[in-house]
Amino acid sequence: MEFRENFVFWILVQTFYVGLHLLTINIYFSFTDTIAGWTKPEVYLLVGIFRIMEGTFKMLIHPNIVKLPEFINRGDLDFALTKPVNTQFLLGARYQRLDEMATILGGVGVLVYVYSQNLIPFSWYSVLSILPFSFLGLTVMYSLMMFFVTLSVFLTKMSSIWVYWEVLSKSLRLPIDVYTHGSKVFNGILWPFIIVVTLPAQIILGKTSVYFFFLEIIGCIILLWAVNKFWNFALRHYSSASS
Amino acid sequence: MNKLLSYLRIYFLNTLTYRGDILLFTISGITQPIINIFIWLSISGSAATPLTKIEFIQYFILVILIGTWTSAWAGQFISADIRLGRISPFLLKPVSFIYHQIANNIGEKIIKTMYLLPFAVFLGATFNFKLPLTDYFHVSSFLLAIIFSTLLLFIIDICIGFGAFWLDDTTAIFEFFGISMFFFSGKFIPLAIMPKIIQQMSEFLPLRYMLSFPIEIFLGKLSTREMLTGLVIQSLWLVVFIVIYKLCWTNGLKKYSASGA
Repeated sequence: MEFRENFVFWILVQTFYVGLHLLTINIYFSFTDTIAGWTKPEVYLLVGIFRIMEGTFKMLIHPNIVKLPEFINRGDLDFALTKPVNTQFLLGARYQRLDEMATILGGVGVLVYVYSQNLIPFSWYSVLSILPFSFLGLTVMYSLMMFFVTLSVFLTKMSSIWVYWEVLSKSLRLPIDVYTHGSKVFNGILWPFIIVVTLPAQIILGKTSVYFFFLEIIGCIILLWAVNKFWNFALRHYSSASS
Repeated sequence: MNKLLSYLRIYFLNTLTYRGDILLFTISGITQPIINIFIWLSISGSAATPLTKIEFIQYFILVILIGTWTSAWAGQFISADIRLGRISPFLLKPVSFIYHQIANNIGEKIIKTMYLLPFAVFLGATFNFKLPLTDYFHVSSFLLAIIFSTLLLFIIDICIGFGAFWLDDTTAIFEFFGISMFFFSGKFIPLAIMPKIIQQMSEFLPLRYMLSFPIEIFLGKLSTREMLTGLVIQSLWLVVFIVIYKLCWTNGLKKYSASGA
């Protein structure tokens, strides 16, 4: 509460960023009606869902993940390793950043706008399905980030985890089709990125078959499993800088 | 000058130790322009845009290169140093405070350029850049514009950092600065695409002169007259901010309490 003036300002800034994001999209669409097969309201919906995911991620997961390399660098990981809990879980649940609430609210605001203006026909099915999809997308985000962070166990000097997040969050905030143009090869390579928010938005909008939902779940499980394996593998190579 | 050179050497070697990090910074710097290239390629595929496909690509490649050379990052560090009382050691040294910042800035940029150069040569050859080398006026105003842009952004960034003499937290001002850059510097969206009102405002605000202006000269978008006016406005802003810098530094030091010392 000490910095509450700053907090209020932060909420303003976050709201402004969401506005800026929409404005950029408006500029893109002032030249054309569809970009890579997406219309403006459809991209709005994607942005709304993405903001909710991004906010949740930055509120609960990101503050912990960015601290990991520092732990590794200083050898503090030793303490965590001796605790009788899954290390991956322990290190992932220490800190929260409540001001990211603003990002989530911004995302909700976008969705309310999209549905209330009837830019996308309202249906309970589509609104309610946003929640499970956000959860799934979040786990994918977590897996992707953990993959990069785990890399830093090997490359101890790389303390700039925020860079990975920068690259991830910037490339995810638009439909991945913009990059792949529907090419099967590129879609195949980029599938972990597609299932974060592009595929969920497509399913909610009815752009693809509902059966892709299973693909989404399978994808999440595979990624979580792979990252956990990679993390355990990295721990076995952890050299503990201090001792 | 000798002092500056030896500091430059120190900071260059210092950065070399963190070359992994610098590589990552470079990657993060080129992400957004590359994403923008993709976006505008998909848009201009189906619609008439003020710039052609090839011009969009050229524009954002230049954003990467010139953006790297003109970039500045000292402000955030300075404001943290002021808040935590960490600029005291600098004050004791027989070299002006700003020398450290200049050396750090240039030292890091040399490494970044080394990463970007192969990439730039490749892209430049692919998308057939033509630098009008025979036109001395064009070339010299381009070089001058880059130098001025670098200095301008560097000084403004530091001035914002000096805000920490009076405020506890300068993040908000940096955010505001970032948002203004979005509209007026051409970093994210070329000014030619922006609404007329923003284009007109950008001609007088300092922000265009920190990135877009040298790019416009390079791409041959400006007439001789526009180049000259631009350079004049650019140098005027530079003078204004150098004065602000001097004022902030002398008055700020009086406020500075070296907390923690």
